[in-house]
Amino acid sequence: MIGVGAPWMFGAAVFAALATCVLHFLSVRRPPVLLLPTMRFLPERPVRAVSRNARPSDLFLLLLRVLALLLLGVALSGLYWRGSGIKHGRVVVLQAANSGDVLGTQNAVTRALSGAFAADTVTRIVVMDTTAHMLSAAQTKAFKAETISAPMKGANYPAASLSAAILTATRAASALVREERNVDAVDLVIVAPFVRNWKDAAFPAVRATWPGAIRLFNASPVVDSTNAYVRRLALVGGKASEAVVSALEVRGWTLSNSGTSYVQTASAVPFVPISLEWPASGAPEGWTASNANTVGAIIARGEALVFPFERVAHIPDAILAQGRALAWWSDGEVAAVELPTSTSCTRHVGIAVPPSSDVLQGQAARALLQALSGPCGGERDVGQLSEGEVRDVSGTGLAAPATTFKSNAVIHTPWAPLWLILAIALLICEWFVRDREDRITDAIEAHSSVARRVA
Amino acid sequence: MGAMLDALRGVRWPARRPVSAGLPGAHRSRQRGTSGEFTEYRLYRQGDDPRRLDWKLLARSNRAFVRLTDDRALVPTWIVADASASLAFPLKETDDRPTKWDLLRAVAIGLAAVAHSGADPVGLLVASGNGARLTPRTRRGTVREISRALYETRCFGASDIAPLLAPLSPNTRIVILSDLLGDFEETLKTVSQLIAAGAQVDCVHVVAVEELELPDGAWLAVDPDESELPPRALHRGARAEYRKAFDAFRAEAARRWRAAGAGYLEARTDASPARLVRHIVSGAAGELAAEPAAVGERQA
Repeated sequence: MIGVGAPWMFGAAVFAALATCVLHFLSVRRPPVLLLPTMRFLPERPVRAVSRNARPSDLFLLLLRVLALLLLGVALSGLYWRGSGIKHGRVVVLQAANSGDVLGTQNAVTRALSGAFAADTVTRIVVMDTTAHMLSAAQTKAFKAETISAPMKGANYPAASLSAAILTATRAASALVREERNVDAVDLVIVAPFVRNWKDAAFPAVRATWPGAIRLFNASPVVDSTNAYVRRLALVGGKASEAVVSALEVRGWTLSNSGTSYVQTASAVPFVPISLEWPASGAPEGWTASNANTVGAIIARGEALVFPFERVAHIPDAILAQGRALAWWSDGEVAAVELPTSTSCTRHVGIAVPPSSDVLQGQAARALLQALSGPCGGERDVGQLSEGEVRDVSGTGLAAPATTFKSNAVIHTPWAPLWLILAIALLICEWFVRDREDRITDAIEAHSSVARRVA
Repeated sequence: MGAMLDALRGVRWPARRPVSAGLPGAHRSRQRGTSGEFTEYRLYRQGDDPRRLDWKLLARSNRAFVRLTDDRALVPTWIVADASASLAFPLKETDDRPTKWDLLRAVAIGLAAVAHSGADPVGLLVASGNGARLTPRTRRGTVREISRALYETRCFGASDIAPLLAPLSPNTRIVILSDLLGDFEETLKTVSQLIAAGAQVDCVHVVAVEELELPDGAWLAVDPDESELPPRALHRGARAEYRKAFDAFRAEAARRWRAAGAGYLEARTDASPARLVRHIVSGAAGELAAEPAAVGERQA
């Protein structure tokens, strides 16, 4: 079965070939010379030295031109052989952040991949953890649901985003259609926990970009609230400022039994330990020391803490690129950053607080301390989505047609260079043939002219 | 060519009227002479040759009579062939059909053969072409010489017949073979003078069938005689006007030649040369003065 990457290009070539044929039939040319002794009896009228040639001559020339144009069209339009069978495409997006149960997630992935490796199905898997990884065809075939393990869940993972999943799936579908040209439609399957923070503000606009239904599989969302992850703060690094310690104690944090970290409550609920490096000198490890200068305020969670803080170090760009900013100096420079670790996160705070200061104990410091003691990756709403909301996400209709993902750009098939070379060869032949016929015509004209001169 | 000459064997070409005095020949002469063929008696008049007196009749009747006899004379025959470029039509390169020159050459050789068989001296004048000129002779091989000269002639240039005719003696028979597309007026004027002086002139107007039925399609017509003339367009609309003008020209040519006292015969290229020769020598061209004389039907 033959497919065309750019049908308009092939159509243009066919149109050009037809136009060439028409022009060839309607070519206006000088009529042949007839030596007529009784020419004097013809009426004296302006000589119309042109006439329509209803019966075409130079058919070989016409054939060369038409073939060259069609070959150019074939080469530029990306004509290709699609094979005999039509295949169905499937893009599976695994978005396991915020999932609470590995086994449940594995079950959901297994169901999502059911039938994905059939002969008439072409599947691409995109795993989204901290970034999106599109597995190759070989990796997709070797993928097992059991490979999803504990690291795929956890509070340090970015919040699952349905918009990101759909956009990633669109890219994967385009790649799939580009690689497998006999795919007629693409089915989108998303495995993710159905939690509220899954739908962000961009969801309605992004959902409209996927022209078909979405099959959804629930990846066992966590059942606890977001704050369940935040129960322990470990002050690491250099010695913490007394002002910081006292501020935590004022906020209800107490030193744990081990004496190494501060806990918010003594209840035995799950927690995620967060390392807080807030040295008294105000320069966490890896930061670049600088001349001390006074900055008038710190901004966190949209609130300003006004105080003549002294800035003694700057956060390097390399560290900043890996983390998430938590607080900013009033001039816009980042003052505190969160760096993810394998199971948790570490927060660096470059704000030097005088030991004797009570600035952190006031109401104005509430936002800063909340930002520094909040869950890794930010606060999330992991409440369950209702069935109606899930239906809205899923949508109705069939799988997205593959033509939606085909680019209008010119597609180059492996045969395109050959077609181009053939077309150029034909054009060169056409030039030679035309040149030869011109020479013959000139010779005949010259012969006739000489004959007339002799006469 | 041999077949045509065989077909013309035994054909005689008598002069249409008594010829002037000349060497003894086969044609009646206006001169009453002393030949053996008795015509009548006439009373002797002073000055008559006494040797022509019929002495036996004088003895019987005592009256002097002289014997009168018709004289017979030869007629020198000039064959004037137009070898202008227009006679090489249609072109051999594009058409295998006979050209006007082919027909003209065959008719000229046939006429020469017929005249030569009647013991008349035959000569050739070629207008244009290589301008061959063979004085009228009666010796053997004359027809062959004329034939060779005609076969060696190539048609080119413009027709210029009148200067060739002007020095000819009026006591001759002249056959002009031409397409009449050259110096028509000058030729006709010279011919009129020759006829008035007693010459016998026949005109064979050679017309190609392709000139009557022009080829289909659009063409750019060029006159081979007058290459300096601008070409004219030959298309569907021009054909009717062309045919009308050409027919008028042919009719006018026939009328004027016959009015001048010459014989006129239109010979089409699809006609048999032998049949044309018979028409000419039988005097049909001169007798059919009241109606168009054209021989163009192909013989079965």
